Amino acid sequence: MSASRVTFAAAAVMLKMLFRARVVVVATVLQPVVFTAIVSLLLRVGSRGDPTLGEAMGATVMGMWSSVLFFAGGMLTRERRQRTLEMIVAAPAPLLLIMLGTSLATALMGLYSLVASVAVVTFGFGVPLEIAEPGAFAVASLAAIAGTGLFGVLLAAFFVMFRQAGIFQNMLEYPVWIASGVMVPLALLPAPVQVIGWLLPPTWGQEALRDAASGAGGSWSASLACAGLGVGYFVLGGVLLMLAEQRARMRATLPLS
Amino acid sequence: MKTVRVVVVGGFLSYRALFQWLRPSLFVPTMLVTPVFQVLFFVYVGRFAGVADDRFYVVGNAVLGSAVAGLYGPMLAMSEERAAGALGAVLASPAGRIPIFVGRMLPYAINGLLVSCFTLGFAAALLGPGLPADRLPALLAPLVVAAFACAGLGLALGSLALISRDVPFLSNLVNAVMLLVCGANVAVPDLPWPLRAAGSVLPLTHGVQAAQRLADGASVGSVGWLLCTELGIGAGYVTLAVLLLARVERMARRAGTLDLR
Repeated sequence: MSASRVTFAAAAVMLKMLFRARVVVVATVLQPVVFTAIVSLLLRVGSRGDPTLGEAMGATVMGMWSSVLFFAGGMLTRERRQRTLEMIVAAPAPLLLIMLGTSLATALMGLYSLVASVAVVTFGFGVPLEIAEPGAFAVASLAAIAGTGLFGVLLAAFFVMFRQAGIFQNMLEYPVWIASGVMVPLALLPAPVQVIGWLLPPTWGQEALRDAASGAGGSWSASLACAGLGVGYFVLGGVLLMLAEQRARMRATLPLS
Repeated sequence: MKTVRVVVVGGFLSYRALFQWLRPSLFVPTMLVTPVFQVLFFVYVGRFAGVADDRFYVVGNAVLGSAVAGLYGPMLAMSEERAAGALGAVLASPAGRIPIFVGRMLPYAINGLLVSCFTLGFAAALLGPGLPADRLPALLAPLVVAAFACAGLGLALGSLALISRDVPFLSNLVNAVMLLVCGANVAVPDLPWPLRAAGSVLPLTHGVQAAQRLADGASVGSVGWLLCTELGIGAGYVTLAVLLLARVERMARRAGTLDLR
């Protein structure tokens, strides 16, 4: 079975499960809609200026991150709980490719967030639906999905390697939203938070989407940074996963327990 | 005395059991850390939009801090009791239904109150929102009332959870809507009227307004009607929950499915 076929099959299975899970709607539609509405209402009454498509782009990445954090980050832990992890690890298909497909599928759910949050600013706040650079926007969408999805592989490997880290999964949503500047520009955040933000693919993903939508320039380089960081985290996740698998095989604890 | 025992001991056992089923290690990140980051998120959004000072978001989101415990706690407690097959035994006991189920609600109201107090204290210390120390005792009143009202709605959702499988989704929906309409992040007068209308019948909205006015220096007496309205909304949801439970119990007895599974 070729690598692309394994990745595609894993993504297809995950997508089927995600399409049937109502909780996905909460993370990828409901939350982005509410946050887009809150920020747009605040901008309308505040001194900063009217909402733009940029708020919808920030909310899109928020939904993408929530989806990756909860559904990709907890993937191996979930398989372990369902006692299917042994079968997945024992299968001839590489575990890393299965995780890659699964994680990309969860990031793809960010397209729900994109449609929902753009609908809020367009129909709720009268923002014209005009994408200044459609080509760059399409690339930025793909880069955001790829970068955030690849980051999910590292998360999943980390949560399965260090079981205690799993308890932090629930609290990682807001910190990454803050540090990646999805609703507030990084420049307004404290310097150490900005540095963390630069290391996160969602930061560059939302910047690429915003720049492509507004035509501010810089979308291509932000897309490249997002995808590049994602690849780096994917490699790191692969190494962690290999170590976790080796350790489990040596100790004859394939469920990694 | 017996009624108080049913409320206190029954409620405590149910609360303890829930955290036996759920992982206790989830408590700190979910209940204590997330609300603080939520405050920080909205403080920065508020600064960016140039709408209100930090205090507005700290106080509002501290009241909102009771939402997770209040909304999900009673619902999960009742669903898990049913899943474990314990609900049938509870309903077969001679104890009054109202003390039993009010007991299921109270620990989560207290839990929510503690989360609110922690969030207020921690976020205020972190951000220094200029909240005078003499205002803190007065703020306790809206926090208590809001936590009770929220747990009342949670109990009503828990009753619904006995007859519908969609309640966890509904709880998520209500939680998200409350974030938007309760006035913690967007002042109620700045909301479009449909959102204002939704907020007026949900818990927390009046509690948030009372807390924000108290933080601005108003007297407890001047926000009395807001506190009474919040209390009334909470009592309304508790009444709805008890009526729903009575109906569910009747249906279960008639169908011979006392465990309601």
